[in-house]
Amino acid sequence: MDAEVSEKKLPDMLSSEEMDALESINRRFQELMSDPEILNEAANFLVEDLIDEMTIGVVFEVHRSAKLGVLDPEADMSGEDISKFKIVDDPGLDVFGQPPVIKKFQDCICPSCNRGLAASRFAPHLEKCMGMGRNSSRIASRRIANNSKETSAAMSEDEDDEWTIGGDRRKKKRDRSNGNTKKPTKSLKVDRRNGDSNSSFGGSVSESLGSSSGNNASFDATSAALEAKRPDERRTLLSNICGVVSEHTRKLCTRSLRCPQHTDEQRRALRASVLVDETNFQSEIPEIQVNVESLGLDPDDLLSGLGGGVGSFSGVGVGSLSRGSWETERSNASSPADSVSVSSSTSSKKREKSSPGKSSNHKKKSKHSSSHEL
Amino acid sequence: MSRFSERRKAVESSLDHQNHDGKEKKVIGKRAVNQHLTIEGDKEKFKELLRRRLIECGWRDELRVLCRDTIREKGVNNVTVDEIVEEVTPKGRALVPDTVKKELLQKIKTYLHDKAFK
Repeated sequence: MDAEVSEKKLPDMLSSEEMDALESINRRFQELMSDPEILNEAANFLVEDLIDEMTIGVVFEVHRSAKLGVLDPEADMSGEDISKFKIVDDPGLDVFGQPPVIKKFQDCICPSCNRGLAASRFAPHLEKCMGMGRNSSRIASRRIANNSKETSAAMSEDEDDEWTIGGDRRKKKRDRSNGNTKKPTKSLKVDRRNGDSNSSFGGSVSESLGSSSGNNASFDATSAALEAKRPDERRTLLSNICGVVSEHTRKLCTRSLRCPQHTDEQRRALRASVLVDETNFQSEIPEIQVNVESLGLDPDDLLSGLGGGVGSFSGVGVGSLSRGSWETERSNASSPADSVSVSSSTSSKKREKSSPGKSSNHKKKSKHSSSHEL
Repeated sequence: MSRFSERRKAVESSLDHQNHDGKEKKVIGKRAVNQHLTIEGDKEKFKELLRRRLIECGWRDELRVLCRDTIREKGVNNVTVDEIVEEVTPKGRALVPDTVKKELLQKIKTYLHDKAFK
């Protein structure tokens, strides 16, 4: 036995007595094993013994974990459950086995205008939409300052200075910018906003009518406020202020021509649209009269009614009349005519609802719009 | 080192047992086999083999469930290791697959045979 030989060199060496004992054991073992029956018995015993040892190992393990209180949480998870919570180690997946989300877009809905927008744009939007925040308050204070200046200079016959353009003018602008560089997502919003602005357009028309007839100066006189002005007034106004229509408040920018918020391009676009309207308006005037006459109405009658109804504000009346024609012309000109026709019909309805003092005035207008429909 | 001290213990115990020759031959045979395996260090080899086989066939998990049930039955605070062993051992023996048992038996037999006729 070579094992025994090597053993002698080690400090744990067996003494000669023990060596003898070992040899006697070996001898006895060989003796016993030569008997196959004993060998079988011994092998069986050995197997049982090994199994018992394994059992005891498991029992110790479980007993220990039970005493330490680790067993119960372990027991709650059967095999399948654990596999669910295993850490995934696949390439391209995170530890939960989910593919990485490249970019998560969180959409916020503005509580004030119910528009959905990206979370990163939400705070700036809210600042503008609710008129709060540093920048907005600064703009507001400046606007107040401008307001007092302009009224003292008697720049406008209306007392309001919050210029807003609603309806199809906005649409025109949008369409133009759509043609240039607009994302498809924005065009959706534009459509919706147009729907909104159409209704507000009708309302604003009636309000502007009220203000022009001297009833009250509405601060919200929006779209028509600028349109109600005569072309030369419009031009003087636009030569003094920036005039770009804000996307959020739908009002004209009342700051100086070099206001940093808007670009020169925007200003130019707005002026271009206004000027186009003007030129068309001038060519439109005779056409209106022809229309009125063709309807069998006496123009003089209409004019006297106009003068009487509006009274001392006849100039304004003409202004609003011209605005009406202008608007009609636009409804002719603008290409997506569906929403425009809705807006003009609502505005004509509103006009009919207005005070009876201006009946001739509206009559003319409603006639005019009807002639347009012809 | 531990192997030698193990051997030493086995030898010592065998020296004690040599004094009781009047015992039954089978018992002596079993003891002799155990002694021999322990001395040669081959018992660990068989144990490792058995452990691997039993883990493969899920016997360990089954036994663990049995232990857990026993502990729950008696209450975690009242149970002792002896009680668990008493309860679990017969079931554990029965649960060992026959193929595993046979394989181990065969291996031990050939091993002993080789040793005996060396």
